[in-house]
Amino acid sequence: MTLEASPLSSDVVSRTDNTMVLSMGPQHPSTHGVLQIVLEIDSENVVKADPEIGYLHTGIEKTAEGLFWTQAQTAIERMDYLAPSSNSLCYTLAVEKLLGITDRIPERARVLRVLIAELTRIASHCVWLGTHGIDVGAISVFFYCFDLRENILDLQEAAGGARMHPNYLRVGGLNGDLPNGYIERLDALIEKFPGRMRELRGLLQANPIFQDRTIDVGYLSPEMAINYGVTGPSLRGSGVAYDVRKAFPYTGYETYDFDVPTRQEGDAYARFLVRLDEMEQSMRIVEQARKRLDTTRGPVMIDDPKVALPPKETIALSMEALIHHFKLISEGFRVTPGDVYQSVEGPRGELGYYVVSNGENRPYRVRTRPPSLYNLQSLKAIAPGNLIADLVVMIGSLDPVFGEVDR
Amino acid sequence: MLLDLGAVDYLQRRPRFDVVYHLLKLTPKPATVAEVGRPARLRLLCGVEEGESLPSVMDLWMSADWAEREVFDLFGIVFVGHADLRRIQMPLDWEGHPLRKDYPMRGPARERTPRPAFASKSNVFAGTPPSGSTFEALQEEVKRARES
Repeated sequence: MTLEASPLSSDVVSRTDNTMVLSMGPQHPSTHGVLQIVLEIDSENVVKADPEIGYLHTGIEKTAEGLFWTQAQTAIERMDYLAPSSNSLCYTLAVEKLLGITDRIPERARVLRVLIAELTRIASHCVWLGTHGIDVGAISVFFYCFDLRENILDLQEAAGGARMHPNYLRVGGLNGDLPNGYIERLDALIEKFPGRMRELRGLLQANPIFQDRTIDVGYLSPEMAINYGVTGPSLRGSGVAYDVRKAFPYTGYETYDFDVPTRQEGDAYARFLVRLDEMEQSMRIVEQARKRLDTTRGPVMIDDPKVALPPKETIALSMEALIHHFKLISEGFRVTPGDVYQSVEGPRGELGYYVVSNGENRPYRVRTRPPSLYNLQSLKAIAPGNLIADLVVMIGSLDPVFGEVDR
Repeated sequence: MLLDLGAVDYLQRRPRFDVVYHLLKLTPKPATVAEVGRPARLRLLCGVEEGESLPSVMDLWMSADWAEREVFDLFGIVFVGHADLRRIQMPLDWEGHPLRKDYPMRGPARERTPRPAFASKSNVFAGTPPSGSTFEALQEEVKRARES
């Protein structure tokens, strides 16, 4: 058996003048997944960086075309595996827009969706902060972050049944109301959070080693960020206050009181501070949603037998309920033909779904706007002129998730 | 800002493909939420027939770079003027464009091999054994079926 050289490998070993080409990844621990960067380096300085993606391409968009509208959500949750509920929120909102039932979603479901979306944002930022800390050699941050994240995953498990991919949201509302004991655990988390944030800030924010590694590293100008389609905390770290929750509010975000933290510096440290502030703002929203849960009672699923499964106890008693249940399970529901673009503010930036329906019981096309893909692209612009060691910090500060980049 | 660039394959329609651009209007440096306000968003559908090409918008927005490569990779639509139009998600030597509607869901290689028949004696040892038969007798039967 002979091994044939791939088209890439001849470049990897070639040297011209003072530079050489080095392949970093795709199995490098600091690439946060399976990212390969083909680097042209002059001693330790990066001359050119060319990220190669696609190592985690699993064809989720194609898979979704073969599943029912509800089933496709399960596949879609696997894209951004650190914030699955943001994905399903965006997808369900898009399908609801197509169905024309956006205004009929029960109030309690809307409050719970906000609560879940913000908890998942905090959990996702916990992973980012922990791994970012490890990238620069601060190991202990990781344990504090993952402890906090574990509390949120416990809540996800209680609500949806699974830690990582709860699949709690449904087209038309939610899978079910919160289980007993959820609110108490949520209150405990709300109480624990400020202290934990103080500890996290104390570990890193004023740490001279961390500041040395991140300040003035990976500078991204606002013009450059907009040109590269960067969104989310990475864009706001460059001084552009664009947040989908404020610009195009959804699920009632306009009724919550929160700020959009921005920084002018545009370096890795600015993005770090923006994300930390964002975690606190998310917790502000969680607290407000928690208060509303006491006053908004009622169903969490739309009262429409064409979309929502009938209550379990009615199936044995009502012929219509049995028929609706059978039809929904065996062939799903059909969606009005049309196309729609829906975006939400995911933990990484503007997460968008362009959903096309041809009137069938399966989506015709689900195009994702993955924030990580566009954010990661800017690495080509910010890496040259920096050291290889700083490249690790830059990748961390852009916070890509490869399930989403490659889909 | 070019928010997104994607494509849809309408197999029966002429032109066959839609390339979808999503544009967002942002001022150069909106520092506050009020300055951003409710920015205008524009969706641009651009019909392309199979074998036709589109001009690249990479010189306007750098974000088009990977997005156009992805549309080329998964739909086979060529963007003229793109500096480096290679496959991005699939391996470089891949044949076909997976997100086209006439591309089989399970991939061309697996589509050629038929699915194994359900619980046939030659491949799967499954189901309730017939009454009176022992496990060894069934194993013998499976072995005979394989040999024949």
